[in-house]
Amino acid sequence: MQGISIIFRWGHFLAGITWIGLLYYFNAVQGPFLKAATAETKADAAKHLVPRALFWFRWAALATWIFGALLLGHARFVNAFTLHGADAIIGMGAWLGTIMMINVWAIIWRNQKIVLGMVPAKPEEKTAAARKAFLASRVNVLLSIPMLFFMASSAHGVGLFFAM
Amino acid sequence: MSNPLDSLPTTIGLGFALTLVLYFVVKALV
Repeated sequence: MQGISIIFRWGHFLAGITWIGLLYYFNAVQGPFLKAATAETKADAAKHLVPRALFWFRWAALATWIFGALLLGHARFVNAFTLHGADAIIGMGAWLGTIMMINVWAIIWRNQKIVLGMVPAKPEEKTAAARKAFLASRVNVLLSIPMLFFMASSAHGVGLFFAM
Repeated sequence: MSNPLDSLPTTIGLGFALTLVLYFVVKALV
């Protein structure tokens, strides 16, 4: 069981770093860059850069969640999501990560398809979709901070929750 | 259309604040 568990943990980290790394890239680098870029650069990015980044982003998000669920296993999965006992620590991380993953697929990706022209839309619909995708992406940056805290402390800082 | 999430530093600050709040929530649960 130890062997398969480390494979799941490895996969969870690999996919998670890919996902959250791209999330921070979107928010700290790509967003401000596209705001400053010329119309020609923006069009090029929308065609050749952003779809590639979003491909890795959304599939890494799904893979992270699946590896995380496999890593927990059935009993701990239930305890985590019901915030039961010591599993409430990883449970809070799992809830935040789940909300983030749903955000990626249901809000960010759905609206980015409109922004990138993969779905036909009027210019004002594109503007509204860009705003929704941006805010959902910012919410994920916000949630990633406590998510990483609970993920790390569930393995390396359990005492923090029982001390005093 | 002003929103605190428009600012990345504010978003990060809110992330730390939320961490503190959720820490006490989870501490009360375990």
